[in-house]
Amino acid sequence: MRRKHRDDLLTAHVPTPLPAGPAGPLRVGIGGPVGGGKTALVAALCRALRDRMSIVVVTNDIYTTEDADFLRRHGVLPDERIRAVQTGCCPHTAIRDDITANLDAVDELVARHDPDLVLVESGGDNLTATFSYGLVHAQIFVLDVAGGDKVPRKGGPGVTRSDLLVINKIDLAELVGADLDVMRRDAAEVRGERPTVLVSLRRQPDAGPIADWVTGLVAARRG
Amino acid sequence: MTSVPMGLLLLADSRLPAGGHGHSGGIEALVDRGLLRSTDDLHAVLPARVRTTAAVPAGAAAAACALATPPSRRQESHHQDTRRPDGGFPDTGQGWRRWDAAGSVRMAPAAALRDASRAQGAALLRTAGAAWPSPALDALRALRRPHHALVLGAAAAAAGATPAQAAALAVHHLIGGACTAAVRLLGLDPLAVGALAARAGRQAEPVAAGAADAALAAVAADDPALLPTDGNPLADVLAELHHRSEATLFAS
Amino acid sequence: MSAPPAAPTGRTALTAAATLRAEPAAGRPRLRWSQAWPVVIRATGADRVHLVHGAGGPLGGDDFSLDVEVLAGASLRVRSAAATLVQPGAAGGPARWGVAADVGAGGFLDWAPEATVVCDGATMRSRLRVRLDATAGAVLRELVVLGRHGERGGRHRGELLVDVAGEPLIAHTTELDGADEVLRGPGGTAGARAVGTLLVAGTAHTAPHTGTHMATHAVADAAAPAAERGGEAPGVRWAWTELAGPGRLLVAVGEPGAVGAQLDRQASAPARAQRS
Repeated sequence: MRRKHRDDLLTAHVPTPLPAGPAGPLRVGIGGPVGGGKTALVAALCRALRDRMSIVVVTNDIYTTEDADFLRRHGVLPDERIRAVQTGCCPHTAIRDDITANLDAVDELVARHDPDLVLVESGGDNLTATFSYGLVHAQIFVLDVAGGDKVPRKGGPGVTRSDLLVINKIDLAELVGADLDVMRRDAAEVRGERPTVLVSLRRQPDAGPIADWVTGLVAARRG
Repeated sequence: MTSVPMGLLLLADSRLPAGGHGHSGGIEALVDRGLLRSTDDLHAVLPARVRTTAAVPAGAAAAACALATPPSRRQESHHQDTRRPDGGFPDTGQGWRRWDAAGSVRMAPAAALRDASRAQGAALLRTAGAAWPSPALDALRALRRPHHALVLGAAAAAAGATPAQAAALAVHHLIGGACTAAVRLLGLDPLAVGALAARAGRQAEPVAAGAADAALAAVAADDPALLPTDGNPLADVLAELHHRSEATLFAS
Repeated sequence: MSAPPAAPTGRTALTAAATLRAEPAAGRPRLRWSQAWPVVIRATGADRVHLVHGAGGPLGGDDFSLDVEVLAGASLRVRSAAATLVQPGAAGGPARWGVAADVGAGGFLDWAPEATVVCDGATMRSRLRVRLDATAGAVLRELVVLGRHGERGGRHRGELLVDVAGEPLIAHTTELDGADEVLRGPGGTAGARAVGTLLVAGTAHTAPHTGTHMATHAVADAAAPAAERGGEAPGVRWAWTELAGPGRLLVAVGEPGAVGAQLDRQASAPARAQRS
């Protein structure tokens, strides 16, 4: 059961077939608790992929337009490719129960930019928050080691059901006393064949293996 | 003798995905300015908002419901007072356009409120269009982002409801949206707020009924100008300021 | 000329219908009017009149109206000599003030009377209805104040209805009541005693003859910095908004002095911008 997880094996785990889901280009949801690195991951994916494909981003920051502003400030995408959706204190509602505002934002961006990839970033939420497959085709759940190495074992729909689990900030593992092997093993146990990647987006700002995984999905979606 | 259409209850249910959870009905702007801090404050805010801002959406919803009721059903009891000329059934976008514009001119003092109405209209149209397929809802799609009250009224008609019920539905959402937002933003006792919502709903019944009467007269005369025009200047100003504010949890 | 005023207090209710017409004429505009006591019209400029409410009015039960016609190519500025003080009348019922204006092609109406002050116990119903030709323009300023200093004020129900080229531009009714705890409360005016509006409507940008610029556009433009489109200061909250049709609207709510000052500042801002 236990196996050494290698990041470069990720491309083998592109879920096939993708859920039929919404029409149009590939939509990937990025969720997870506050501070895990969702926005950093979106920024990294944009930097890594923007020269190869057309990308748009919808943000659902719990606190207004902060994530969208972050992305604009860092110049990862032109302004007109980013839209912020306000969720009335309920980010999980906006990505799972009532996805209409996000659908609206996605449709508007798709109509205007005809992208290859739509990233929908959830506001920071709890471990039970997952995306509806009416909104996205695949979802990434982002944790960080600072949240404690027990989080993967606790599970919750975000950890167990996401199509890709990202455990971020592994450079901090020693500082916060997190055992990466425990996290890797527990994640594999609750996730079965679904892939997990351990990464430090600070040290690896191109998010290499995650960008490859997304690229594989885009290719699969194009058929 | 009158049965309640189940579809009407579904349209009244905030669990039906229609984008409402992202809008506070102006409550967040009041909270941000310290104008609304407690259950007592909410107790004062709800009747004021019902009196000043409910008639326009209620009237528009009732009119849309009357307009969207197929001619074959108009003779039923609840439409007896719909003295509409024949041929006005809006099964084209053009048929809806004047009624949609009437909503915009009634929300003229705040572009932010018009935007919020159109965003929620588009959201509800996604859900209602699939739930209650009907020529009137299909025709609303031609407007791309029709005002929320029009979609609500047309969906109510498709679900079998009457114009008066559609008016009540619009007021119900106004009260419910405000109460939910106040609970989320201030941590108010949701049981106490539930009681306030019930009281506000009772007080709103004449407002909804009056708006429905005006709407039926407007539809009978084929003249959207007869719809109610009531507004609330402070709510308008705050809606604009809220929309331009950098730190807001609700879109409106 | 009409008869001199009757005693302002305890008089019976009055009904009066005045008319006012601005015509273009070679070189300078020409004004014609028929006043109706106690609605008195005084020409105070080539294209300007001042309205005077005689008889201490309006009082409850009074019913006054003014029909305005601005012919194609003409312009008209309407002011008032002083604030309109609405007081309760012996006859009871609301005081009514209805203005209907038609502005022809290329015409321009600048409507900016002083404040309407609704005293304690009084009720006022006003309606300002303006129809603009597709190429006409208007600036409409209204300021309603609840009560004189130290009063809470009476009731005011005001309708603002403007059409451009037969299409509705705004249809809005505001109900204020200084004695109504609900309407004075946080869901109503939040204790504010004054509501001011400044509507810039239509397509004409410059009033012929006067050069009064409608460059308020420059202030209200969506691209303008947020601070020029709205704000909150002691005594006043205000915001410009874009209408769905051709026009922009400023709404200001707060204390009478601050709201009046905000309307003045916003109305004169274009002139400043133009000079600079």
